[in-house]
Amino acid sequence: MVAYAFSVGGDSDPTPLLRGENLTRLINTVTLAVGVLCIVTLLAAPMAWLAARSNLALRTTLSVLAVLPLAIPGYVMAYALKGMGGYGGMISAWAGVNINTPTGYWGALLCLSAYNLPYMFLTLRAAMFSVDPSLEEAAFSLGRSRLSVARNVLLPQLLPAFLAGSMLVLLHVIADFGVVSLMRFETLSYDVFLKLESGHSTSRYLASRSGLLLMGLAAVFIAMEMYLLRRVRLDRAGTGNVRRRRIRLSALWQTAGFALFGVVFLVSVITPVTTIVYWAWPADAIGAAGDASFGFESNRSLMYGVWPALWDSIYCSMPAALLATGLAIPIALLRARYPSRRAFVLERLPYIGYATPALVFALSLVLVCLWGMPGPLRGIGSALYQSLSLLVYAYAIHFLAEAVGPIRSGLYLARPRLEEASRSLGHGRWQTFFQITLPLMRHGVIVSLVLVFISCMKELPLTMILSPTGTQTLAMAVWSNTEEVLYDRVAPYALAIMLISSVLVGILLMRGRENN
Amino acid sequence: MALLSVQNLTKRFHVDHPAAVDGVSFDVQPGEILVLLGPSGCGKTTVLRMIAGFEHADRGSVRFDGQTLTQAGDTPKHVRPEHRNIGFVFQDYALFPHMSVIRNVMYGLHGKRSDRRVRALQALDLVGMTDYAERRPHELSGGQQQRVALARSLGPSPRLILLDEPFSNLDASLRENTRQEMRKLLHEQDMAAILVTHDQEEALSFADRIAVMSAGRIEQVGAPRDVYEQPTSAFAATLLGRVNLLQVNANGCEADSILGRLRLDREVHGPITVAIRPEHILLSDPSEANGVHGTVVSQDYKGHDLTYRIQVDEQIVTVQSDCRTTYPEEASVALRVVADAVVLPAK
Repeated sequence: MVAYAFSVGGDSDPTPLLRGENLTRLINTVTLAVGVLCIVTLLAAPMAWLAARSNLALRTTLSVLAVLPLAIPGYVMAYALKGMGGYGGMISAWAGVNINTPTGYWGALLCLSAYNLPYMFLTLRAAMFSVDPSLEEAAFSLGRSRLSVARNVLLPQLLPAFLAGSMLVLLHVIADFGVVSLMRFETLSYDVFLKLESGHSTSRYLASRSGLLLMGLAAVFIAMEMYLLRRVRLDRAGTGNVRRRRIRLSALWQTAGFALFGVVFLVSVITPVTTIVYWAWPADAIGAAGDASFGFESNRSLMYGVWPALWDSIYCSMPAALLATGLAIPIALLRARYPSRRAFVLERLPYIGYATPALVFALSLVLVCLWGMPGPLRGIGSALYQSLSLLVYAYAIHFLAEAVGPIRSGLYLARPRLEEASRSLGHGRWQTFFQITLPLMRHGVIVSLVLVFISCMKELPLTMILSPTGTQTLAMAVWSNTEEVLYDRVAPYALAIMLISSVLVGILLMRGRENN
Repeated sequence: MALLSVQNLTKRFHVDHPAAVDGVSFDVQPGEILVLLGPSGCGKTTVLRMIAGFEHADRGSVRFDGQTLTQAGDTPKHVRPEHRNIGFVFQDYALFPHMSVIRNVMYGLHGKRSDRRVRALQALDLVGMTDYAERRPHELSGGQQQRVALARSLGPSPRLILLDEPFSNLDASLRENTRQEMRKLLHEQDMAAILVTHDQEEALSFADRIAVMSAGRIEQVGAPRDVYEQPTSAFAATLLGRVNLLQVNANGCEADSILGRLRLDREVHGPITVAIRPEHILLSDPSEANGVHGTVVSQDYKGHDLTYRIQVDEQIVTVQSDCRTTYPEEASVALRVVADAVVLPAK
């Protein structure tokens, strides 16, 4: 892509990378990312503290509720926001008033914050659980005040988790395409898409320049994280048990805690779900949006439309989940059994795929297929373009990092001693792998399969650009119908995505509990 | 002919670290129990893992039952662990958690399924675990898991079994019984074994022969009694129990020391170091005996015996005594050495 951006651009268009519209888009992208990060941190930090360190009633249930927005992709949230306000929206149908729900920056900010909040919440909560309370107790016993302990002991220990969570949020926001496009907020990734869609080679070149900026931005964020983490070392020195201690909240603070979780849940789950159900409900939708311009169909035929899209989603996502998991197993095994510098680098590679914004990744694949293949291979390149195998490959590489994590933790169960025991009992390497290692890590394998499957099913930009002609997955159906303001048509697809994600995640949680 | 012959075995994990195992050689006879005794990090487990084939050797060879299993050098050979037919019992037992007890044992057996089942039950019968055949490993206590691990290794009837600190995860009370049972079982099956441990009591009671290891090398090999009573180095002497090391000036079979005139176990001249076990020194009331006198510094009561630290001249001497007569701190006592002092070779 770098080569393309400079080779084509070298003679035709000498516009500097950072000027005019590109600069505006870059600033838009950064302000959106930073805005989302601020909101998410301000909400997630107290929520995580309440869940991990206080005696808030029902904290386990509240934690589960706080994670639910994960099942609602950003573009579904954006659709819900659009379908709620305005003329013919849910609010006007129920309350009789036309309220304009926010679009542009504020709309994108709201949707992306709601979607990203669980990531930060989960990361911070896990970190607060693992911080050793005896360190704080030691600080108290040395006569430090609460504030000083929080600043000097607790916060430094949470830094790595906060940075990791920030990284996720920032990378998600700058790579996001669904929300910003529906909210009409021009960021770099939206620009890449628009230029790419128009299909001209000049605009493809401009797209690759925006793409470069986007990659640069991702690299800057990652470099910042590495710089801030350069000298952090937080191992527990010494042994002994970590003891749990919860801080008692007064009734007032209990109520405040409930209110915090309640408001977040209301905004990020109840509102979108209500809107979607409203639009999926035939009578109301017809009553309110019975305007001829909406061209509604009977609810029954709408529901039928879901099945082919569902099939397309499964058809593209299933092989990708299998491929990603298949690749993740040797990577994790190599790192765990033969630790070396090379294996370490190999294990990090998937994170590059994950950190590369999806649109940029898609763009580079398009360029490789249509432009980057040397002479004799050019035929193969164009054959790959918009083929299922390219899409599956792109999915698998992009989400490989999600598959490696669970498999690596699954491998902790399959200790090397067990493999050696099997070898000393006369079984070869392969037999040992299939009879001992694989059965022991099977839970990790299933988690990987499900996570990658859900991610692929929700994935929008990769699908839009790389999917074979005629394919329409659930995600694409939600996006394109929202673009065309066919809100009643969107609802069943959006519902299908939410249902499948939450049911699959529910199954994982139940299995996880059994295994423990 | 020896069942197992280890020659000059060497292993280095990092280029700039000293060798973990450095030129180790020993033999194991059929049906013999050899114990590798050494402090943690001395390379004893690495020796075991090289014999099992889990680690590759940098130098040296392993011959077993007339076959070369490992040969480092110009024509390297490394038989894979699954083709060695040597049993291995791990410190943490390494039972397969997703298989029942009987399936764990059957996993090491080959042939028809029904046949394997019968043989697995026989192996479990040896360790008295047939009643638990259908249980999962996590439903068993530590001692039971240890028996299953042993049964699993015994199942394929190897002629040699390697035991990597198999008793270290057991309670002290269980440890002694299990040790005696396993020793009896191994001798009944006429099975040779190498046990790795850092526990001197375990080594003394379990071994037919002990090999004392230090920093990757074998310091001394011999019957437990010989190694205990005739250590060839200060290291071996201290590893096997408390010992008093004294600098003396030898003159033939005798030497003068702070404990008076000592008889030596062999003839030697000049300044040397000798070892005297604490139980080879007798205490008595100074008024009843003449000879060397000292002052009790502290006493450590352990039920079946008492250990005194006694100051003699400028040095502290450790003495083990029964509890029939006790001497309070600061009491004056007379000391008498009742055995030959062991001459340690100069370094």
